[in-house]
Amino acid sequence: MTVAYGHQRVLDGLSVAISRGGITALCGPNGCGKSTLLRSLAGLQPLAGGQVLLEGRPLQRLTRRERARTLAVLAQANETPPGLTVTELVTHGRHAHRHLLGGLSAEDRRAIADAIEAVGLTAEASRPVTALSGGERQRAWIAMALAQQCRVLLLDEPTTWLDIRHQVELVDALRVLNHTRGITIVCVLHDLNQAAAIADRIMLMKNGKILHDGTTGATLMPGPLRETFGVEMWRLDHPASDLPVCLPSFGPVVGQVSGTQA
Amino acid sequence: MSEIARWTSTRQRPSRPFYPLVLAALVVIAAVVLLRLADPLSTLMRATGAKEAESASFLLWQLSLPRLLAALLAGGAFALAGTVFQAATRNPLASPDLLGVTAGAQAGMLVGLAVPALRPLAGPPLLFAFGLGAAALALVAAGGWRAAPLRLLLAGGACSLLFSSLVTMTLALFEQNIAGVALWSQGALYQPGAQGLKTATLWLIPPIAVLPFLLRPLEALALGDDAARSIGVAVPFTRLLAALAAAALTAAAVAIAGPIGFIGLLAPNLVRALGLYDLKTVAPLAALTGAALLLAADGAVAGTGLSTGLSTTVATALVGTPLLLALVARGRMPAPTSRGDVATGGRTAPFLVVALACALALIALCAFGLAWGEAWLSPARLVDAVSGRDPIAALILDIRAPRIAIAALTGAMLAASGVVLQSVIRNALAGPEIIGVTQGAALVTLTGSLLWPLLGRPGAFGLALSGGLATLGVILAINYRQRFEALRVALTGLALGGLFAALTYTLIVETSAQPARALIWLVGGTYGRSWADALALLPWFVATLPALALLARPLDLLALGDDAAAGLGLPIALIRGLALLLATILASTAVAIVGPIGFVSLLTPHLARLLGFHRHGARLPIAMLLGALLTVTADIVGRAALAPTEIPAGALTALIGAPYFLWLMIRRPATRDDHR
Repeated sequence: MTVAYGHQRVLDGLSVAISRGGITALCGPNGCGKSTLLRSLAGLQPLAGGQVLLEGRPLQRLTRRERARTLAVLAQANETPPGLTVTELVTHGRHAHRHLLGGLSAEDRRAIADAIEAVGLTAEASRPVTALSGGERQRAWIAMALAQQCRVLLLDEPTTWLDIRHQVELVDALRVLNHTRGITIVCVLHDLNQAAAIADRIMLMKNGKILHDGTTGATLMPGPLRETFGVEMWRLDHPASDLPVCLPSFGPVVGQVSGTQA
Repeated sequence: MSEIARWTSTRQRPSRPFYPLVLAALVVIAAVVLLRLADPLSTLMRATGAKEAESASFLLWQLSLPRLLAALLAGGAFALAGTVFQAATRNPLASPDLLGVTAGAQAGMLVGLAVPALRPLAGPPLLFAFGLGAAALALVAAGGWRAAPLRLLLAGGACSLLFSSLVTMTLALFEQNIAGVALWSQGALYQPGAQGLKTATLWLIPPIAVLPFLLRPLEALALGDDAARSIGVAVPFTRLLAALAAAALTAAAVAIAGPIGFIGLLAPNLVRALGLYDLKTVAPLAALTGAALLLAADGAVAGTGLSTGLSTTVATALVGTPLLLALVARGRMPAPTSRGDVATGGRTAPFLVVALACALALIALCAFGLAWGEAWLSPARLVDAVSGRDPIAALILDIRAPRIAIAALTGAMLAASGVVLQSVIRNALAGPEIIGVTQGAALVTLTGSLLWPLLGRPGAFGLALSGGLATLGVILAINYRQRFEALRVALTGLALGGLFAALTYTLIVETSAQPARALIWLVGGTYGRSWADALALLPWFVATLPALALLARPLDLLALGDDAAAGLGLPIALIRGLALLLATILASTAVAIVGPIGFVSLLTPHLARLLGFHRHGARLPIAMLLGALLTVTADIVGRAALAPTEIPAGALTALIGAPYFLWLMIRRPATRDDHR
């Protein structure tokens, strides 16, 4: 697919296949086109060429409602209208399931309560979203996406505004959702270690191209990372989980680490 | 990517070169100056006798040159004021007469004409006093010193409406001086001598001297109040100073050239549409553009010899509107963060309780309105009238009842139109007046009624509706490719609205034998409306109700932002188009019957919000009930207060509603949400 803003081609002849039921992380330097790729996958970005296939069907052919029932997308910065409560926000997620008129069906209510519970906001359900903390607010938005009962969830930097605890909680929550509900997740992440913790597949992007695509073990290596970010990185193993841990080699640290290793 | 991200990413790009704009503006200015001065200069050169030379130099120094300077100064000052207001409020739709400066100055002008004791002060001093007084009032109502941008916008809007309704009312009541003031209301650059210009120019110096110190802090405000504060900007002080400087600039410009505030809206947006955002670049360029625009417009007026009718405002609108439209259509404009609504927290009363209370109040008020008037109709007589036993009472009822019914219907319709537009455009200042629909409908209706004086009710309907729909059609056609993106729609509408309003005023001054009558229609009123009018309006109202009910939920979704709404499966372009169409129908049909009644559509949606209703399902009905209440009250008071003289309901809606609105704002101080 090709995406262009004006004359500037952001994605040029890119071809991507997302594995069903997996968690894919998109990583890369700022402005490499990863958010654009995510928006294109979500059908929010008009394509200059190519197409997006969702479960074998072209995205453009699906009706908006069909698409919204299959695929949910969460933007990086969300506007929260004042006065909107958590329940009301999550109820919006049922839009594609409801008739234009009429109240909520029993199934709608179940899906809403279920989504709020899944993100652990049951106690906050009737509070205004603007009154929540950053982490709770992000989880409220994820609950809205869950209420869509989608099979694919696209997230743009979901952990950016959160503290460590909320980051860990969110990563865990996403993995649980992936495991228990089989939801395919694609997320843009800046933190490589988070990507390693959550994803089973990582795509490294640069200048609108995918440089490396593979398991966390294969992609999070000094070579591909240097190529992508232009930074010398160290690859360690997490003492508890054996997952890759990436460390940028900050100047003075290099000597020490290399010293101990040598 | 969100709107915010797109906005910032364009900001990161190197600024576009601005030399072409500077060059174009300078060329325009030079050309007009040369053309305009060529005649008096050559007369001066060729003058043979001393007397001839004297008169020629008088012509040059006292008439031609002052007028040119006036155009340059006023255009530049309006543009600077607009730039500053837009930066201080982070709202690209803020106009220089935001704080009611223009309307206040107009009031000052009227006072100068009306009160003989103040005659010596008439002109700049009185205009300043009133203009700045109005600005101060708006500032105080907004919470003064620490007012958040949105509160400032709304308080200013309410104040402006209050003053201008006062002015129009006075004009309508005292017909004698109307032509002069109406002409001045159009903007006139004719300068009798250089003295007045000199005085006004002196007033321009302090605000311009302050500007260099203001621009950098204002630039920081674009990041949001918190970010600005954290880098050490005194946010409240900056905003206060900016408001004062802009108000002073506007007052001076108004004193020089009359209320041509449209330039202040237009010039900065023109510069930004070229892809320039840095305030230190935008401010001088906007001033230059504004000066060139006004000069060119005035040159066109003087050059074509149409100077009596084609006023400067019209010419400005004629020159500026196509420019802005072209830029909007070319799609060079990234959307800045648009401000949604006034966010006021507070306890929410249950919807049903408030709705029921409003409905009961409306019924009681209608009953009261039927009974009260020059002749009091007791309940018994009302019953008699309906059953046909009291012909006199039946006659009175036949006059009062349709007016009340029409007031209630149009109030509700205008309020609904306002709610829908504010949600779709995502700007608290939106309303049918902002997207130009009201002006379009008014212009076409007025033109029609002048061409065919015997035009019937259906004709007026057709004209208003076609005017409103044509305006909408142009707006949609221009913005089709951008999926009716909110800010573009608003800017297109503003440009068209300014043009239409100016043309309407010209039409009145130029052609009408009874300018007062036309002006009263422009204020909006229910005088002399019959059952036939009410019956003509009813189907439109009834037909739009289900559409409103259907749109309530999509509008809620749209408030989450375009991407989120699209992600949830909402066809945003379709919904926007439909909502705009609906709002246009609601506003134009109401305008066809009662004329462009102000205030209702702009401020009742905020009233509903101030009462704690955010969801459209609740906000729409409450706003509609409030709109009906307000218009019916205005109708009853206007009919009875100064009987037998009628006060047009349109003037009273603002007169009654604006103080209530300001009071609500003061009573509910800013909450956490307001400062976002």
